Amino acid sequence: MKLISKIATTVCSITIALIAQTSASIAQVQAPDPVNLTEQLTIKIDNLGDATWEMVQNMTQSQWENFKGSQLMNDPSIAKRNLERSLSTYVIEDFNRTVDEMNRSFTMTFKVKAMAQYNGSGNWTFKLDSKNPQVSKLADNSYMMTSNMYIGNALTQQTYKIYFPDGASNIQQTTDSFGKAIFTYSRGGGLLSYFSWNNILGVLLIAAAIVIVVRQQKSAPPQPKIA
Amino acid sequence: MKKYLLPIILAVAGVVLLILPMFQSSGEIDVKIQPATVIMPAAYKVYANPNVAGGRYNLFKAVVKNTGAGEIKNFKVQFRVPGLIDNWADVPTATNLLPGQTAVVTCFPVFPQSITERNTSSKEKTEIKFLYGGQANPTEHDESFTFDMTSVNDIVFTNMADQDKAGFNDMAENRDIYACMVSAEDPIIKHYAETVQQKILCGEQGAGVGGNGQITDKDLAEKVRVMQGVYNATLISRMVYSETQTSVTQFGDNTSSTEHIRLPREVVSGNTGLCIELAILHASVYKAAGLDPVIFLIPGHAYPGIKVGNQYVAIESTGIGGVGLGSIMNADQALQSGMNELKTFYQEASKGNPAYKLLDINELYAQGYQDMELKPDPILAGEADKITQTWPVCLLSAIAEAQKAAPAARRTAYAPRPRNNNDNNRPSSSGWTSYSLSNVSVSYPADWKVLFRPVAQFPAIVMMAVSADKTGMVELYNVPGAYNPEQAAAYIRTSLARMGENVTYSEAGNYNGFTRFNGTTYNGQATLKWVGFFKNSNSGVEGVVVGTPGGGNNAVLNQIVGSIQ
Repeated sequence: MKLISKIATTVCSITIALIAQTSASIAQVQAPDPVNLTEQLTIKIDNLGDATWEMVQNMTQSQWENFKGSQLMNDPSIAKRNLERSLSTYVIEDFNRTVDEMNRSFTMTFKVKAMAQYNGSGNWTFKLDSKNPQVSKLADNSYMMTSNMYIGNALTQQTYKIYFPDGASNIQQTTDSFGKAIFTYSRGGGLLSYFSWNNILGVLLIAAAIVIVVRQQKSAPPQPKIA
Repeated sequence: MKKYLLPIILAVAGVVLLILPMFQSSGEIDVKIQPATVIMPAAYKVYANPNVAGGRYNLFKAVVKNTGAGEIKNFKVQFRVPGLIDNWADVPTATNLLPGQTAVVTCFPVFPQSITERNTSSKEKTEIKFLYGGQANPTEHDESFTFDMTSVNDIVFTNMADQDKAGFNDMAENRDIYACMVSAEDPIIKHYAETVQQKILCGEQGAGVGGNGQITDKDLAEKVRVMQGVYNATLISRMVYSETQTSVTQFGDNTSSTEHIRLPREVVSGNTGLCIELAILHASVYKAAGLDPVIFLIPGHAYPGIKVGNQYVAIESTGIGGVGLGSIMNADQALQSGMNELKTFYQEASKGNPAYKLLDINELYAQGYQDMELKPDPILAGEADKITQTWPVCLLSAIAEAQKAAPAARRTAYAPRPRNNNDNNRPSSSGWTSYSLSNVSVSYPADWKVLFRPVAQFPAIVMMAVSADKTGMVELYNVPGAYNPEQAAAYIRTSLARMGENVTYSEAGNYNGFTRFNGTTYNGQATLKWVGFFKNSNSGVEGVVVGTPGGGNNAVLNQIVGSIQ
C-alpha cells in the first residue's frame, strides 16, 4: 500500500499542510482542532493502466474555518504544484478540486499516468509496495483498504476503494520477489489481442470471398446434357 | 475465371490486412524528457534514492507514449553520463506498451564515489537510449541533454523553475542537503572527534539513558559537556569565523543562489568557517561522538545543537569570534547564547515561519540525505593534526576545577533561565523564584529543576519545574490562538493523548480571574493529580498546572497555587 499510501499521504499531507500553513498564519485567532479527519479515496484504473484519483474530505466546522484560508481553497495552482513535486516519479494530469461549502467538504481529483504496468500477453501488475495490507474484496473488480495514520498532528482515517478496469479478470493479490504486496490481473492479450481492426477486417474479407465463391458455385446453371 | 475475380480480390485484401502487422514496426514512441539542470556531488547518494523527497532529485524523467498501432515489446531504457557513468545502465521501466499507453521512466543514477573529488563545476552530458521491438525489427530512439555539475562544496538552494517560485521555501528547498555534508565517517573528522574526546574532554563519562528509556540528568549533562568540548576545541584552536562565496547562477529555467560550503575537514584544517560550516562541523563531531545532532537554520544564520529525548540543546558555534562578530564567548556563554536563540526559534517556527528550519541529521539520514564517503587526504589530515597537537591535555577538567573554585559563576548551562524585561524570572533570595508569561505568573521553590520547552513536539508547554524528589510539579502553558480556557484544555488533552498520556479533567469554577480545572494525567506508569488555572491572554490562552503523583508537600503546592497571578 506504500505506493498508494505514498500518493495518499502526500495528497493528505499537502491538504493538511496547506491548512496548517494557513492556520499557522492565523494561529492567533484559531486554535488547532484536535478532531480527526476522515477521507475517502477512490482509485479507478483504466484500460491503459492510468488511474483516476478522487479524494473526498469531510471536515468539522473548526477544520472548515481553517480550510477556508488554505492554499487549496484559495490557490489550487500552488497545491497542484506541490503535489506534482512531492510525487516527482509520476505524471499527474487533470487536477481539479471542487468545494461543497454547504456540507463542509471538498473533492480533489486527478489522474496519475502509468500506475499499473503492462507485462505483455494481457498481464498487468499494480504495485502496492507494502507488506500485508488489509484488503477486502468489494466486487469482482473492486477492492477496499482502510488505514489510520497521523498526518501532522491529525489522526486521519482513510478508506481506499480500488476499481480495476472493466473486463479485468483473474484479479489476485500476491507478493513480488521482495514480499511486497501487488495486484495482478488480466485484461486484453490472449485471443482478445487478435481482435484488432486489421485482423477483423481481413477475416471478414476472406469470409466474404468464400461466401461469394460458394454462392456462385451453387447458383451456376446445370450443364446441358449431350445425348 | 472472370466470376472469381471479386472473391480473389477480397481474399487477397483480407490476407494483406492479416499479415500487415508483420511488415509494420511494433509501434512508435513519443518521448518527452524533463532533465535535471544541475547536479550537486555532495548529494550523490540522494540522486540514487527514489524515496528521497518524492523522487525529486532525479537525473531525468521521461514520459514515453506508444503512438503507434501495435504493441511495443521488449521496451528498455538505458542511459550513461560519459566520464562519470561510462557503461550503459538500465532504467527500470515497463517492458510492454499497448497502443496509446504511457510509461513514466525516472532515472536515479548511481554516481561513483569519485564524484566527491570534483572541486570545480563543469558541464556534463546525459545520453539516453529507448530500445524496443524484437530481433527482427529492433528500434532505437536516442536523446541527450547537458546539465551543470557543481563542485562538491556547492549547495544550490533550489531546483524550482523561476515561473513556479512563490515564497521562501521555494527559494531554499534544498536545505536538507546540508545533512549530506555532515561527515562523521570522514577519516579526518573521526580522528578530530577522537582527539576532542581524548584531549578536550579527557574521555567521556559513559552516561546513558535510564532503564525506562528516559534521559537521566547525568546523561544530559554529559552530552552538554561534549558540546562544550567541541566548542572549546574550536576556541583554543583560534578558529575564526569567516565568510565564503555565494553566487547567483542560472540553471536552465531556474535562477538560484549557490553557496560554497567548506566541508568539515576543510574547516578543521583551514581553521576557519562560516556559521553553517561551523554548524556542520559541530554536527559531524557530535555524531561521531554518538550524540543526536541537529542544525537550526534561521534567517542569515545557522547554529548547531543536539536532541536529547524530547529536548533540544543549542550552542552558538560562531562565538569563537572573528572580525565583525564582536567579543569571543566562552563555552558557557556560547551555550547560553544558543539557548537564547532557541527561544526565538521556537516562537518563529511555531508561527510557521519557513525561514526557521530544524535539520535533524539522523532523521534526514534515515530519509536518504546521507553523508558523502570521503577518502583520506594526507594534506588536510596533516594540517588538522598540526592544530590539534597544540591542544593542552584535559582542557575541560581544568575548566571544571576552576569553576568549582568559583561556584557562583557557574550556570546550569542546559537549562538557562530566561529573563523578561523586568527580570522577574530571576531566583529570589527567599528560596522561591517566579516565572511569567505575558498574562500569567507563578512562583515555585528555587531549587526545583527547570526545563524549558520540555516536549519538543508540544511547544505549548513553555516551562516545567519539578521538585528534587519528583513529588511536585508546576507547568506553564501557552496555547496561541485558543479562544477560551475550555478550548485550550481540550487541545492540551488531545495533544498529550497523541503522546500516550491519558488526561481527564473537569471544570471547577473560577479562581482569581482564571478558569480552574481539576484533573488527572496517566502516562502508563503513574497518575498525576493536578489543578489547572487558565485565562485568556493577548494571543490566546495561558495557564498554570500544579500537580503531584502523590506524596507531594501540600503546603508547598498550596503556596504555588496561591502565587498564581
